[in-house]
Amino acid sequence: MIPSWISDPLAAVMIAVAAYCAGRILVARARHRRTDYAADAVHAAMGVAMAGMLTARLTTTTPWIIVFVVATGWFGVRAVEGRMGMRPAPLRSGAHARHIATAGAMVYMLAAPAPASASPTHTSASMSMTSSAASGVRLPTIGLALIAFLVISTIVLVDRLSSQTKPDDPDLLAPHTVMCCQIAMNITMGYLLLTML
Amino acid sequence: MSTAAVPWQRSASATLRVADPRRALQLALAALWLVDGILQFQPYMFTPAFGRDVLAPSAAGNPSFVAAPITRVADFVTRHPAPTNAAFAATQILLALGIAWRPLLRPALAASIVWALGVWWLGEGLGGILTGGAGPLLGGPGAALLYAVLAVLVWPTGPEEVRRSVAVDRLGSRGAAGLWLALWLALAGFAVDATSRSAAGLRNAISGMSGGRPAWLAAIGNDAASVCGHHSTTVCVFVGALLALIALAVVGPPPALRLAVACALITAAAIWLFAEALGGLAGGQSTDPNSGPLLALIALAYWPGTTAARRTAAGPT
Repeated sequence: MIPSWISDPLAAVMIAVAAYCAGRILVARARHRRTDYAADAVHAAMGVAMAGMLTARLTTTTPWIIVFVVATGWFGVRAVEGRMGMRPAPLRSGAHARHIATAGAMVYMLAAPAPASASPTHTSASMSMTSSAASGVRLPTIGLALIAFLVISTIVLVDRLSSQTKPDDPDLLAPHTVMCCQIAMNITMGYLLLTML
Repeated sequence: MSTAAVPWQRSASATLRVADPRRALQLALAALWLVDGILQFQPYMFTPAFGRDVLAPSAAGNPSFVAAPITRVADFVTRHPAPTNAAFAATQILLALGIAWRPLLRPALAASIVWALGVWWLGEGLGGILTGGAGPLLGGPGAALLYAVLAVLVWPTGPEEVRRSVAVDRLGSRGAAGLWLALWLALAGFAVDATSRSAAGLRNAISGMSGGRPAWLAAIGNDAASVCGHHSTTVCVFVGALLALIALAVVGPPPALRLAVACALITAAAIWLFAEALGGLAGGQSTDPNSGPLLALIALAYWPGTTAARRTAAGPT
């Protein structure tokens, strides 16, 4: 069980990240600035979902699983289309991989807990996480691989953030702040995954 | 729905920076510190059991001048587990972010050396080198010491280009060779010294690493423990001989060093998988990924003449 004095502040950070990412969508439209709307929307959903997991208030997981499965597929299709030249590739392959992995990690965190007695359609993620030591999670190797990816991704993001003095595209809306949000979400997600295993 | 270029879009210069072997090793070190920090935030670490069952036992068998501070620190952590452990975890995460954040690289590396040596003493009991428990199959001579060694090797040396190898550029030919000899010969000695351990002790130590999860990893660990239990002397002598050969290759011609580095990488990977169960990361009580990844990164610091290094040394194209 994660102590509340750790989980509550982390949940607050995740809510702030979610609010910021949701706000980016509105501000970008209003000010005609550029942003990745799909990534911002998924980040907002991730922030809310992780805050729910941390504070044991995520009572229903199935809708969230559907959301993140769709997101994973969406980013996967975009990656394939970009690689095959079927559409302009706005995202580099590294960013595609990051979005796919983080959305996939959300699916894993919501679906992997294997509680002994729970309805398959309405599983409480918080209950599953607190009881994971006893009941375990499915496919823990995937969880370890996701943690490794998130850690590497975090370090690479920090390195890039510290080596960029100016954004590549001045029309982008607050690009450095997006990277900070991604770093915060990666660390929180890695921590949640680790406590599940 | 319109989309746009993302802020972390890589430029050509960024690609070249990634190809810098020294920076890659620095980022790998940062990643390991980040793993340490996240592991330190596990719920178990905030209980008195961390001080009582993880820190305090490392004092056993050590001389009093080594053991007394360990006992004092373990007692303090046992009495105040939440604030002390939160400070430990936050420190390690800050070290990771500092090493990855270019302007803070030097102070973060310096702080990581101090912190690692402190953990090696007060958290790992000097890795068991004074108690006969420093066998490389059991994580000896302590992962924390290897963090400090790696931090020294990847210390920035001015220009980004790597001429010979990361280690030689940093320490010079003799210094780098001396460090390689000292490290791998010490590991060889500790491996042979481990033959004095009981076969059951070695078997239990290895099988206890995995924490039972994932199942395939636990099975590998149990098989390795069984082999070590039945042939402990043979295994320890074989590992010791292999490590000694790796050590001595540094005085040979460059092809021998390249072969030795490759052997060191394979050996480190084998130790990490078979004996250390990937650091027992899924067990809930692991504080670091153990020595395997660090030995591999230290070996990589000695890799001579990589294509990436030559490309970096040639400058942007």
